[in-house]
Amino acid sequence: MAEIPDGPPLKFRWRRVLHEVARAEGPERIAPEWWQQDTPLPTRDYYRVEDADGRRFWLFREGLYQRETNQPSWFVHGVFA
Amino acid sequence: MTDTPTYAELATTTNFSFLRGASQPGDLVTQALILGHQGIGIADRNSVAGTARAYRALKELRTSEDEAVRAQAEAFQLVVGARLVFADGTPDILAYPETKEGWGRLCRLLTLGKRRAEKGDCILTRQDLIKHARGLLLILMPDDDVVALEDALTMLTKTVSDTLWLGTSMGRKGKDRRHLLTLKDCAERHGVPLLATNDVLYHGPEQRPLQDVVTCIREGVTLEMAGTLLEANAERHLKAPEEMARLFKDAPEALAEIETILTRIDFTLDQLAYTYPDEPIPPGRTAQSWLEELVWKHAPYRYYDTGVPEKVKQLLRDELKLIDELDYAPYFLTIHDIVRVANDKGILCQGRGSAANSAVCYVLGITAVDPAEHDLLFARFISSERKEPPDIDVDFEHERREEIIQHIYERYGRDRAGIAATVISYRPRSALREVGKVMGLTEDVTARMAGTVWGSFGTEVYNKHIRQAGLDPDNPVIKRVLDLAHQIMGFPRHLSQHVGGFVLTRGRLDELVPVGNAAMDNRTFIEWDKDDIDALGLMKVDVLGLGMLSCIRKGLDLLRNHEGIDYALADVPQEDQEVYGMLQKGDSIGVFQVESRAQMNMLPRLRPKAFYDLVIQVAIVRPGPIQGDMVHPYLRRRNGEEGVDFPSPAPPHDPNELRSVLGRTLGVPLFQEQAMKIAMVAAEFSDEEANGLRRAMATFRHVGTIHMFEQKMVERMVARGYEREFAERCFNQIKGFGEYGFPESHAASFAKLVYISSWIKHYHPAIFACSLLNAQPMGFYAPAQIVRDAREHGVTVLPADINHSRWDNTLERAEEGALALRLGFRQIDGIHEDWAKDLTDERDLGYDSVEDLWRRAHLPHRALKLLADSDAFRSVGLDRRDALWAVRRLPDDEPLPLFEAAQRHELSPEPAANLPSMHLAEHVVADYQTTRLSLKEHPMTLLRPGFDAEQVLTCQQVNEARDGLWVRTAGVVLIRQRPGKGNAIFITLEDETSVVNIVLWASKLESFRPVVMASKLMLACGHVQRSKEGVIHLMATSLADRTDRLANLSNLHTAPASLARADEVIRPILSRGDSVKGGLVKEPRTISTRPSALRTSEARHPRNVRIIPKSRDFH
Repeated sequence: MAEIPDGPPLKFRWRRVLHEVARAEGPERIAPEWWQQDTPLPTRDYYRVEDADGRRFWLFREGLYQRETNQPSWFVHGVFA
Repeated sequence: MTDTPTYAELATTTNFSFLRGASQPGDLVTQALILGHQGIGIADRNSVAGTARAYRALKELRTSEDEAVRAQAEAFQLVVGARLVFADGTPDILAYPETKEGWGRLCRLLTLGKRRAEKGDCILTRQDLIKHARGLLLILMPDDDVVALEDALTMLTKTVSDTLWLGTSMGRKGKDRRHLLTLKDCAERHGVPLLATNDVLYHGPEQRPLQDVVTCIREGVTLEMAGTLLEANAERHLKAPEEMARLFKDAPEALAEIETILTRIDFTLDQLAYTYPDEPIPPGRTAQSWLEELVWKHAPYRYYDTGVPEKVKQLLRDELKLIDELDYAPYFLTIHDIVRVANDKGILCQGRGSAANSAVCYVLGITAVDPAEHDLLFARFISSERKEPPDIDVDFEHERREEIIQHIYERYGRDRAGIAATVISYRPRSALREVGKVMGLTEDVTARMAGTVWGSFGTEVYNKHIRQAGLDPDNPVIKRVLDLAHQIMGFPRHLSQHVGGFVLTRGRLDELVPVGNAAMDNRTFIEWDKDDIDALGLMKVDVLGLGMLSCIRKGLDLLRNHEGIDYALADVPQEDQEVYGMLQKGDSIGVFQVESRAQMNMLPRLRPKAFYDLVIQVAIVRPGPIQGDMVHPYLRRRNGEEGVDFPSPAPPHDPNELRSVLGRTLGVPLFQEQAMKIAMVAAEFSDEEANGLRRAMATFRHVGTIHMFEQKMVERMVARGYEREFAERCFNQIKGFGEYGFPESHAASFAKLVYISSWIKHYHPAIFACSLLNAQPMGFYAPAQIVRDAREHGVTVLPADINHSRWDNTLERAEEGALALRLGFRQIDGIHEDWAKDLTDERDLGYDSVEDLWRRAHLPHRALKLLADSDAFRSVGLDRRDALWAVRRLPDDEPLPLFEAAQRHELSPEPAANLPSMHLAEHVVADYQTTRLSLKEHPMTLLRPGFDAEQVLTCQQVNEARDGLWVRTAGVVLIRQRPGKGNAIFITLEDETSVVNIVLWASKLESFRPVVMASKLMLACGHVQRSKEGVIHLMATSLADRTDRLANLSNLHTAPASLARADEVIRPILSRGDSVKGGLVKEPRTISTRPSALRTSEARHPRNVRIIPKSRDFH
């Protein structure tokens, strides 16, 4: 769950666990290497977030709201140890 | 906040920050308007070149048909400035002048930086800025270097107080908020307000690939390797106010500052009102009174034999009154001043343009067209309502124009005179090549793609051409290259100096616009091009070089020296029917303007017999009349096959309203002025609308606004009772003029030169050929054709020889009294003028051997070798090979000290070496290679036996064949042209008998493209078409490349060929409005089938790049 069009996540469910986002930094917007693919990949917005329990995640949202898709999807790219 | 947010982007980089910005200034302005911004600030890297474009775009929008757009554009605030980029590590600073004084200081600052750097560069330090900071609003654009930022802020806040902002942008870089807080803190500590920007590089996110490409071109890397040189995302575009508000929700005060800046800026480009220089006016006199005095003082001299006719006196009085009303006197005086200096220096010149066809200009010696005689009334060209600046272009001898330019610099000073810029932009070939490189294609692939573009005209590269080059247009990479190349076409690459548009000011020029160094020594040019200058209403004087004037001056000199006839331009006997007779036959090789293939075909149809016919002749073979389908109606009426009638409106309107407009051209509009006049008379265009139409015509190819006028003009004409078809034809013609305008006022001055050059050609063919050769490079034809033509007119042509020739071609009086043409050393490739000078200085009574020449003239070996190679030792009894042998024997150029003594002695005689004598074929080939022509034989003579066996006819036989006969012929390719809309390709072949003109329809071009592009010797099959005027064409059905035959002629020398200067494959046509393009032509030839011997050897500097007359740049 996030603010549209490109706000940081407010809460997210990962591996069936719901995380409340306490702090977030981002987005770092990375556009794809357009010359690589025949069909362009969606842009990614990377966030570094910390949930209420102090766990830190590296998330990204794939697809820019309205410009590229109406249903951006979220992924966890990594977990900060 | 509940009210709708407002925004204006103040950090906008356009594509005039070369290879950085990825949008045209106009697109940025339009996009900002669409997004509902309050305004925009254009600031390019150390340049204001893009500002005038933005200004023009906004001006255009302000005259939009759409009420809403107009209102929005009216309220839109364009602020202009520059992004100062420093050489000393100071972060970039955007500088926006608050007032006109501030603008002056910004221009001086940029001029300072540019003058101390190489062309195109600008070196600035923060000390320079501090000296010029008054009146400038400064926005510091920090990069990641915090130390430099602190440093710059500390320093700047010491000198400027309330004119500094700290710019910041939220680029979606991950740490945006943290960065913003840092800057906020920093700004507070220094007491500098924070300003919201988006540091824009393009108008919309879809431009990102293009921005990546230009970045790679700039950095010289491929996309694959570029990595972090590229922007990580597509965020640096103009954003909606709502989005900006969201981005800056932590710092709304930064958004509020935009408003502060906009209200403080009072400067717009409109304020650069122009002031004429007052040099030409003596102290204590007004411009008008001085002009009048000059006119009345000069008039008796101009009409010294007849006295000033009453008609002319009346004309002068009328014109002076008009000039007074419009306040044009300083302009006429400025032109007169320049022309006077040219006369003092003995440089031939002639003015043309709307104001040039006046009795005043004739009396002052600016033109040679006597308005009294030719009924070309000044008032017809100048409308007193339209407040447009008068227009006189002055053509000078191209070889001596530089003297005039330097004079102007001297007289007005470099701080008050500058040359306009020409924007060099990407054309299809360069775009394909550079984009291909960035995308990782190899040189051979990009070369192949670029090679399929005919010349460099046209903005489209067709898929089928790509396929023909053996590449698949559906391949994703190729497709992407094509797509991006298409987008980058028309993007500016760099600024160069205009060929001769001068801007002169009363005050300092560098307070009007930045001035920078040109590539040439002693040249400076401003940042705006001629359209910008027009839009801003600055005064420009065009000082152009015209090869034909050099030729005519040389001709008149020769006439004086050899025939004892002393003529000036205006003295040549007028209306000589024999001269017109020659033109009627289409015998016009070398004659000014009417020497092109198309013109030569038109001559027998138009059959000019008076001066005004030449005016029409010059203007009729142009895209305007052709596209408007006006040529044939005019010819029919002229030949009496069709009655002359005037299109007329329905009552209540005056049925004869177009009679005065179209009377001289038999009711058919041919000139640019007439087309405009029709819009005003028949479609009742107001001055405002007519101006809009004129502007649209000029910019039609870039902007495409002309279509808005189409409906208006056609509908109004129809409503007033004109036939729709006529209205549409008129409009098509206006569109054609947009491509290549040709006004009557220019045609009249050109027609004079057509007549004079024809007169010399007809009565003094040897003098004509000699002066034409000495004025090379110019015109359509290569020396080979000029020499051939001279010989066909009975002129004896003698080869270059060490004992007879000079640098220039000369004339020798033959025994029977006729003048013979002696080729000069300038015809020999590679010979330097100073070698020729040494040779002639020391010649005395002549040289008797190679060694004699070497000893006395001290020529280097290379010179001797070239002379020998070009067979110039015949007078000492040596042919090419023997002479070369003799040159080989000579000691080295710089002998070792020990052998120096040996030099004093003559070489001991050596027994003759029995060299095998050269075949005629080898001589001919070598002649072509060294001098581009052979007086011995035409290469086709030598190949004739072979072609005879194939039943190939000579060109002469083809020209004598009956209509419709199917024939084969072959010859050396002289010219390939694709005029007008490109429906047909004209190819001229030459053999030992004559020339034949081949027409190949564009539909056939596709199958024969490689043959057309690469052949030097071509075989053509087709049928003969003979028009009723006797114009013969070979309508080709197939072509074949026989270049290999040439190679067989000699195994020593590479194949000869001598393409005419007008060939469009070698010399792409540059069309009006396009820049003369040095960079492009300079690049290596891409068609690998063309051996280097064929490349014409003239320097490929932009100045020397030929623009064929059809597309000559008229302004």
